[in-house]
Amino acid sequence: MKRLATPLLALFCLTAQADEGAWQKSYVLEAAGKYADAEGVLNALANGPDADFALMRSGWLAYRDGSYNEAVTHYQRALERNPKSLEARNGITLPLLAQQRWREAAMYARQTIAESAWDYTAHVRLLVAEEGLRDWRGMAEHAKHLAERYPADATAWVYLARAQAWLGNVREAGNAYRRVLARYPGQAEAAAYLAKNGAG
Amino acid sequence: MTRLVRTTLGMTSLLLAGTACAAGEWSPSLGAQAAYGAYSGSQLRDSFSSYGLILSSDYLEKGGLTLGLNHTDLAAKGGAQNIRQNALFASGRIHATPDKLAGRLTARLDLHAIDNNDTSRDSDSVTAIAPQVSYLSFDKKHYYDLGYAHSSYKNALSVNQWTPTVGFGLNEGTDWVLLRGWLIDPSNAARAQGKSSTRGLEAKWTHWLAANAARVDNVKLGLNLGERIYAVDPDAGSVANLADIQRGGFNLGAEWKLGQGMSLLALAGQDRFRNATLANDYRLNYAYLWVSGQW
Repeated sequence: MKRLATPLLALFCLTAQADEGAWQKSYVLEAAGKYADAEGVLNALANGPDADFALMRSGWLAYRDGSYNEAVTHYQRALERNPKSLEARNGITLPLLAQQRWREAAMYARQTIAESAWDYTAHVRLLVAEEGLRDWRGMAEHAKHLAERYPADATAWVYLARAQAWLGNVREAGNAYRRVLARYPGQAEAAAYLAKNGAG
Repeated sequence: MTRLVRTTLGMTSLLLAGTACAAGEWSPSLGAQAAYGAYSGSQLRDSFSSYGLILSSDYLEKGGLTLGLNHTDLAAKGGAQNIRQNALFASGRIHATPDKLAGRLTARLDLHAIDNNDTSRDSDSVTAIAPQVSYLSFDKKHYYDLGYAHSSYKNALSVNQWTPTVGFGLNEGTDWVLLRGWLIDPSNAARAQGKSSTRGLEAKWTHWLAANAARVDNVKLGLNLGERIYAVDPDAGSVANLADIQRGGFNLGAEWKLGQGMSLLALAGQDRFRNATLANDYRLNYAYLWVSGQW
């Protein structure tokens, strides 16, 4: 038995080391901007215990590489493996938003929000989709609620300000942009709006 | 019917509006249109009225379907026959976003079927099939499409049409200009006012306004140059199934966003025509209303 266990343990250790090596290599290649190569080394992990993570990471790397359709496919496969994954849902919104598939991105963001009501990433991605859909009233309401939950965050205030500006509510937009500047002094968009509208 | 069924101009708004309402997997919308036109100087035509409904729905950004039904009454004079007409329009589209392109490709197929009481049958039982491939850049600064249409008429006539189109956005998206060539080749000149081909150019300009007290979202100007006969209009979703030659025209319009996905388009214009058989040049002055809602 001891004779058998030793080779099995060695095999396990070798496999674990190989996996760790593949992950590490992938991160190194990503840091070097070699996204396709970084994705390539993950193929060896496709059937391992972290296959859904490998797929999500492949999706991320494909997104970084500008291969948006491939990224969508990877994230969808990750979701098939782990339908509960909120990270895969948030992840897939990235290539979808890059392709201006606003409704599809919003659908996945809403699925995350249905599971985790105030998931910050999902809400910001949904705001981007709402902006793409030019749903100014919905975006204003949504950004206002997000700003209440994340009062120190400038992003929600930027989206609220943009929505109010598109709705022609100069005073409300100016107020929101001032809140942006309080959180992010010198923020270019807020400063430009306030300068242009005489509210600087 | 000549320009009278061009009154489905709102179709364009509806087809494009699929990207501008609250998100959901399906985004249905319903539109109603009405138009009235009075002919000036025509020996055979007095006026027309038209109304119709258009139902459209898009599935995410993957594709969509549009179905339209329009009824038109043409009041004639000079012994000509009054025409009552129903036109059915169906359109399907699928979108693709290849990574090699910084924009969206769309393949579209339109089908038209027209039924009326024309006893000569020259304008009755018309069918048309019209595929189109288009590209719109993500930054909305460039648009191209190539459309083809094949129309089948009774009494030995078919019509082939090509409509190469370019569009471009200007002034940071506040202006949109569309230029479309109209190359139309009827198979039988004897059924087409002696024309074996017509050539025309259409220009459309839309200007989006900043928030204003009148709540006007955008204003439109359209201009037609050259000649068209038996035109199948991909924007209007209509077929001009009367034989008269359109010889230019213009229209002006404004669109209001009424909130809750509702919009209103009002348009007025004038088209010039020629009935070569009678050597009769005449004009059509028309007004058009389009109301649509999305949910």
